[in-house]
Amino acid sequence: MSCCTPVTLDPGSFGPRIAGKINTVVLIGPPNSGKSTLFNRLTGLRQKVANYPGVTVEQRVGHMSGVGRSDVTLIDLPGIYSLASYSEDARVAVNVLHGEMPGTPAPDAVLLVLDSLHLSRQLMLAAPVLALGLPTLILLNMTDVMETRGGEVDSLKLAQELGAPVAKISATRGTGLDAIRNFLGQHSAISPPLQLPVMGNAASYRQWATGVSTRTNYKAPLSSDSSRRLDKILLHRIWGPLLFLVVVVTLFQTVFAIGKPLSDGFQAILDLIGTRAGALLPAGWIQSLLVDGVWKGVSSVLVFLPQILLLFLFIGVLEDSGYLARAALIADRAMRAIGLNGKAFIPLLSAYACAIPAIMATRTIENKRDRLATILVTPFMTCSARLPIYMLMIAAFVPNRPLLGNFFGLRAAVMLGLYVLGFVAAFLTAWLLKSSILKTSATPFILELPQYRVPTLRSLALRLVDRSHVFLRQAGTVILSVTLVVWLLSHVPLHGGSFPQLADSLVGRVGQFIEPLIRPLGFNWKIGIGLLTSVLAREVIVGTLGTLYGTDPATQSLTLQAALRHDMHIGGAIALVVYFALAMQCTSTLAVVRRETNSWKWPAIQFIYMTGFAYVAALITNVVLSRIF
Amino acid sequence: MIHLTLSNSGIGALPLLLEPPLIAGARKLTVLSELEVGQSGIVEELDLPDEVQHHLMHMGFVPEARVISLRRAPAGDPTVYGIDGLEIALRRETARSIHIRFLPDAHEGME
Repeated sequence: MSCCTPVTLDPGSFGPRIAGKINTVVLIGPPNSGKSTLFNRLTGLRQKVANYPGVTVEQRVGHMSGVGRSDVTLIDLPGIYSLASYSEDARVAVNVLHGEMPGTPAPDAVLLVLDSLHLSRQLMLAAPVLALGLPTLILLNMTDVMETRGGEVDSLKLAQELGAPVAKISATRGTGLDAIRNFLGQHSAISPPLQLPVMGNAASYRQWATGVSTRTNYKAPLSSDSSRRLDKILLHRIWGPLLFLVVVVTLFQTVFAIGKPLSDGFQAILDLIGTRAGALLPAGWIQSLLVDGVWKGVSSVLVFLPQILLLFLFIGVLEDSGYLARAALIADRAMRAIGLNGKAFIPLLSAYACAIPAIMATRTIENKRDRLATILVTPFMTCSARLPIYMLMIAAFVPNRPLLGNFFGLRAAVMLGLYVLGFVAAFLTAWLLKSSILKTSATPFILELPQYRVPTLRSLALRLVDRSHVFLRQAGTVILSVTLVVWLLSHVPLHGGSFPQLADSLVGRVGQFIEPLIRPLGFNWKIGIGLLTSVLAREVIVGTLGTLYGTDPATQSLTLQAALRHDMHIGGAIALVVYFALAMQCTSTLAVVRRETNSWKWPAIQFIYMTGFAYVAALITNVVLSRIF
Repeated sequence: MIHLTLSNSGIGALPLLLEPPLIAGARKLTVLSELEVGQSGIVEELDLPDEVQHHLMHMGFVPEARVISLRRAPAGDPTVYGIDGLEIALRRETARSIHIRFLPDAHEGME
């Protein structure tokens, strides 16, 4: 492809701007320009996600190993339409470009990604970026698709118009990336000499962009009909909402039907490792600590990894395919009824995986009060950290009875009920907030519907690898230390040189101290210890229970499920999952809420409100179920 | 100074008032929310808060852009509009503030 070599203007005519090597490059582009795909392509797995200090904008940094230049740092800027400081994203982008962002090195060069399918609009961002005077390579993405759909552009002329090299690429296929390698290899670059609209407002940029696209013979491709044809069904008045329901139900059934055998297999392997390793150790307290304490605790959480990954895979497919934006459109009417708009639906839906990225995703909501209301209700959505305790209690207490043939059973129904409970609590709370302290006039809903795409294996795999890291790190640090502490506290104080009975140990005494408070919910003191430790993170309770029941001689030989059945009534068991559906037990979420709202006030209110709500709901559940069964 | 401001605002308001009389082909003025699904129009001006207006302009809602009403959401609102090769969903209350020139159906085949 000869088109893909960058066109460089005569470097002699303008003084070299930089004489040295390129060390830091920023990647900038409008939303939906394929920027993230390109970033992944250029950096591979070697990337780091963090936040810029003091602001809520995500910073992605990686090394450009994808083009053989691991020595060059690539900074991914948020997707923005313009550099005007209307949004926090744009302000951060401007600061990074000017080298004024603390902790971020000043860039030596810029990669500007533009979607060639909508070039005339996307060029509006080129004017303010080129006006910065940094060496810039313009990447026309998706040119392969544009050309097959009958579009064209004279990239040579475009380079002359813009005074910067232009390359045609396809981030999805990875073609044309040579141009980036060549661009980085240059030891001097030129500053663009072009006449740009100085006073930047949308109308003048637009006029300029239209002029440039006319002069470069840009012919927009025909828009694809396939997305519209799909929307005819997926946004149909009747089929649309119905299919949406089917998607959600299938999601839960899949997590149960496919995830369960995977988890069971994984459990068998983990148990085998525990037994084998235990046999190698001399009998005594070290063996007890490592096998009954640490391994039982950590592995009882680890077994849920397959199910959690399955859930993330499902949500990843929905998001990457473009369906999630349609779901927001379908939900807008319902969201309006509670005073929020359809945009709030996307973070709420992704909170099914984890509240933390979901709370960060609320940044797309322009209205501050709407955003705050969404942040406050997001932790009600059933995140994957609740799965371990749900799975454990349901498997232990709910019989596996088919409801709708073999496809939909009682266990999946209870699970779905818990998801609905969280959803209803979120809606109710949002409605309360929006009709009282966070009342606003109606806010505009502007949503771009992306074209449907087949999600790439690469980006799905990246999500899963990322998620496994987080989960394993959590298991290896928080859960490991909690189980260690619980084991230790359950073995002191020593009784005449030997270990105390569990009920007489320190942990037993703490548990019995708080028992009066939780007895009305149908919880015993062991569950109480689980509630205390799970304030750190929800899945910790399973680890704690694993350690406690594993340590207690009365239940040591039983599986965790059997031990729980031995120790609890169904009223308390269901009350426990109801409590988990509603309570705020995640320090990471509280920390993110604090960061995003910039005060401790909101996380504190959220914690008290959710815990109180959970307590009352669990109490009612226990009282009602104890009467029935 | 005062004089300048006054005359400026006067000029700003004039074009709307002095819109040339409708020529054959009936190019009538309306607002975006009035378009039926399948009909198109040409954007005249936006009458929205600065921030929203700016955002919409960057998404393609600029004067002289051609816009087509593509479909309504299952609940009847928002509506998906096609502009500049993009599909943008807007609620009725926002679309009501976007003034357009109605394009007769004869131009339909152009899309």
